[in-house]
Amino acid sequence: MSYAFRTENLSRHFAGFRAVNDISIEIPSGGVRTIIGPNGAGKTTFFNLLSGLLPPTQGRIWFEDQNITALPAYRRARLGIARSFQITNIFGKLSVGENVRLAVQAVYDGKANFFLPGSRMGSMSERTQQILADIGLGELQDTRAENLSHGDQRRLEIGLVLAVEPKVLLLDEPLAGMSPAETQSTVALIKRIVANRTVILVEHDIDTVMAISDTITVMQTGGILAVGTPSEIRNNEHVRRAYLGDLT
Amino acid sequence: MIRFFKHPLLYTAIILAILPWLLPGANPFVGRAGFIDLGTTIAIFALFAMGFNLLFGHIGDLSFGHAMFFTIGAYVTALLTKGFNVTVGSANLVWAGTNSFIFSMVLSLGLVAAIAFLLGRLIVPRSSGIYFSMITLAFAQVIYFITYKWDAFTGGEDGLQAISRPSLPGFPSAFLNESWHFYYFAAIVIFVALAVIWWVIESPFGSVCHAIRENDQRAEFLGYDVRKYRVNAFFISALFPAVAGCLWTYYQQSITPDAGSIEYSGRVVMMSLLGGIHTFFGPMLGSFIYWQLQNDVAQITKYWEAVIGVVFVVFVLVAPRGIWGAVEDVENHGLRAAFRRVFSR
Repeated sequence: MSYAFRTENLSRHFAGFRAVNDISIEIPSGGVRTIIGPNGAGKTTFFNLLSGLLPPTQGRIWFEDQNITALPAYRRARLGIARSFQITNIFGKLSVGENVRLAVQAVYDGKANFFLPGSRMGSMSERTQQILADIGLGELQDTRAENLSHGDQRRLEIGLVLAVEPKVLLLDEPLAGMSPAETQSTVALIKRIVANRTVILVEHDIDTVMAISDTITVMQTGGILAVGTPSEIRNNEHVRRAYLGDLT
Repeated sequence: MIRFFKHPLLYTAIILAILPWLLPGANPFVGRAGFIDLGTTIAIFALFAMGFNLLFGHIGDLSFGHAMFFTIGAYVTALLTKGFNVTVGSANLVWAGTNSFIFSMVLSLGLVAAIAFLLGRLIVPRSSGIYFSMITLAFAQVIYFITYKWDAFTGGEDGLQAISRPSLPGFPSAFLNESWHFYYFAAIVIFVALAVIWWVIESPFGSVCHAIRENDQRAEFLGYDVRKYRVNAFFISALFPAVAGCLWTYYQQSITPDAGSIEYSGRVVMMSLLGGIHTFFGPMLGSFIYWQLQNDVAQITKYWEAVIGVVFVVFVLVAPRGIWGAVEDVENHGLRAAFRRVFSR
């Protein structure tokens, strides 16, 4: 498989405003693929189109070799596309452990009989514990998710995304609002999980982006300005002028 | 104290067993029939409300028309027991009547299941929130007006009277005419139905319902087919009001169109909110309080509904998670923390 996603003339308009404007791109599979760009460039809208939160106004989307343009979000999730949200999106009133267990169980939806005890669905609790350990929240599993610190909630959401055993993770600003220490451990987590998956990031923290990305896609006003390795992007005249400017 | 009765099915069974004797003023030896009657009403509405609450409290869809399933169950039982002779178009439908409980129950459930199956697929994917509430209300009104207007079949405004109670195999034929015999018969049926509700809530299906209630978008993006869960929860929650309606007919030995009215649909909403919608047991407690209040206050004033309304408002303000929700808060967080939760809102 050469690419994870392929889009063809993908557009999304909001009452005449072109949030995503005619994007045709291939996102290679494997590695950390980061999308950067100024606010309003269309990064989150692009994510919403890939994950199925929004239908496109025009254009088509392929995942691996399948046309997914018309698939509802849960069907895309079952194909192996998992996403996190810019604003933390977890089950606040449920415990941390219950959050992860529901995500682990999601893999069985439509395959197992959900009126029989969950113990019939194989090693669910083992899997749950493994994910909890992975994201470092094992000791907080009985806490209500809404009572976690902001950083822990962000990590829990990454845990939910991981638990559905996705091929591709779409992470929308996973580091937003994190302390330096939390950022460090989350970056380490992302590096661990990318081993046999594709991670597509939207992120504003330029130093981190430069450090962990395999390729960077720069978006501006709904279109693609440049694609390249971190060093290519750093030295790209257009990008420097439009976006990085005084940062480098 | 509630730690002692830790398993909800255990305390549900105990409460059903002693309910008629729990009512304030009840004396097992004096005036028993009156309290047995109140107890029967409470138990039947507990089942109605808990079935309804499977949809409202556990997956988060507020149906304002669940009385339609109650009234269909009630009328099917009444018509099958009493028999009917009605002309529909050119067909003349005649039924002589039966005294089989199983037969009436199965057909009540069957018709409600068929209607709920179709209705769920029709309206659930197309509506949510207040729109869902209004559409369920509209369908309930259709059923209500059919029972109200179709004199030849449903008895119209007067309903159907003189419906005999069923005879149980192995028991004398008038066995269930005795109030307390009927109470315990109904209590056993209700307990079995409540055990099914408990099983649904505790299954993986139930935990997905809770996830959808808390955050349907996150559930969808984990790969859950949210629409399928909402359709199935609607279907399942329609079955229990049908059982309750069947028992209601046998208990009252008559049925009027009221059983499908807005008031009945609203009553289970109120009971669930009073008792605590996020709990298994709450609606039963709500039924107890509602009927107990009605029974006592109606002796003092004919404006008893206004009094219940005030009590309801006070409870919703002071215990927004319902009475059983407040009890669980005290158990889980201690009295002081529970108070703080109430007054910080």
